[in-house]
Amino acid sequence: MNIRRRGSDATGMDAGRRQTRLDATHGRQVVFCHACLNEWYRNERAELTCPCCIGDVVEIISPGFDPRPASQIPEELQTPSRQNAQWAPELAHAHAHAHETVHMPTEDDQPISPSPPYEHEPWYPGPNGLYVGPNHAPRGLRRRLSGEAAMNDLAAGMQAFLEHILRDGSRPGAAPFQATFSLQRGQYGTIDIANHFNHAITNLPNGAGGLAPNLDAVYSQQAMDRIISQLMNQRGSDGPPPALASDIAALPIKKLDEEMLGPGGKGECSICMDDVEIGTEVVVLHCNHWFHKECASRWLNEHDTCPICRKAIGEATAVNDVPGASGFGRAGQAG
Amino acid sequence: MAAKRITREYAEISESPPSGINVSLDNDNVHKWNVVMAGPEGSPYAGGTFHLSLTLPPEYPFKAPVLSFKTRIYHPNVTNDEKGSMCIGILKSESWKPSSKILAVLLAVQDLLREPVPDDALEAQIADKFKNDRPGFERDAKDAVKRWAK
Repeated sequence: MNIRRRGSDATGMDAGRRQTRLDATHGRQVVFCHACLNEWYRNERAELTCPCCIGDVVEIISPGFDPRPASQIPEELQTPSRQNAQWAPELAHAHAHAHETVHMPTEDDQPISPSPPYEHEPWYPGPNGLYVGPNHAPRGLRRRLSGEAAMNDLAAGMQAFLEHILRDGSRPGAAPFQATFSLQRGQYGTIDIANHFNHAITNLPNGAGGLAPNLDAVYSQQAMDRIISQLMNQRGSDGPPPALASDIAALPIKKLDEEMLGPGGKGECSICMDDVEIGTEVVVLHCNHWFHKECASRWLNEHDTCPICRKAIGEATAVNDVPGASGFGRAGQAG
Repeated sequence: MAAKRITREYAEISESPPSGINVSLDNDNVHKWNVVMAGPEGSPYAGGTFHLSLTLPPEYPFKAPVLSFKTRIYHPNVTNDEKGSMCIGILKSESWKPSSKILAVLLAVQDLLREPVPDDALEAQIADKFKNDRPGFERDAKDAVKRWAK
């Protein structure tokens, strides 16, 4: 399907003002696609997905809330000669395969069958039988100029962010997600970002995807925040990572003696709070805090911190290799 | 291990309760405590009575207790809603340690009423007011005590 641009004699609804923005102030809601910067009137399209890139990172613009960036199109690109850009046939094809990377028309794409411009009609039939506004075509170019860089930055940032969150939180058996982000320069990856982001969320180890009732879209800031905090919690709620099993096994076992007792001369495991009699075998951490072996192991298997002073036993092992760095004379710090 | 330690802690606190704090078990369930805390003197919460719910997970002390205000409170670190969720350092997963006791948690809540931590707020607007308009904050907090915590 081909879409033609009107020529320089255009006299559309936006004529007389800068032809880059649909007017959201006159009762018609305008929807804006953050992925490809496309915009359209909401009453022309029921679904909140972009008719251009099928992206679903879209926002409804109201007079009081306009997320659209200030005009980014260099003037020369709005000259009539450049406005003959067309929907490339492969683009229409790609719309049927939303998971594939879409190749958008570029400046180098030659018009395939130039046709005379429509006159006096503000709307043109677009892909999927929808109508697109008079300012549609330059957006392919606009995307090339500002959108591509922005999307590559966004993709890189999102990838780094997800990797950062998931790196520490991943458990054996959790699928690695990094590979799903594979944007290549020179291609337009907007659809891939949306799909892969959702894919990653759907496949999170403990089902964070359940948050989004419809797993291919979040429509509000709150929903996005919820997903972000879910991801953060996934990493954060676990606290510090576990100690190495070998470090735990290497901890010395000692029989409790009087020097190891607390100030009151009383021995108590500060994990289970049970009294510990002199002569009972206890495990002693490098910080000289001691515990029942089972109590300490259970905690260290979850978090590499001393249950009393939070010093990591892994850290202490490394520090202990340095002569004189171990804590001599610090007995008596029993919990 | 959990029940034994909790029972021990409950006995300690019941025997010598810290000033302004009372605890009781919810339906004899050692994992669910009802806490009644008096607004600390010198704070805008003075004169108020705050009911809190303390839940001790089965994994306690390997997992931190969960504490929430049942009495609505105007405070930067407590959600100003019916949930009354709170943000307190000692209970955060990254700082919880098994040697922390329930008594310490309750005393930390008292401290938080005396001295909110606006930089770790759950209610940003209240935190802003606390930072930028202390008299206004105290007035609002006192009004809220009259409304909800009497």
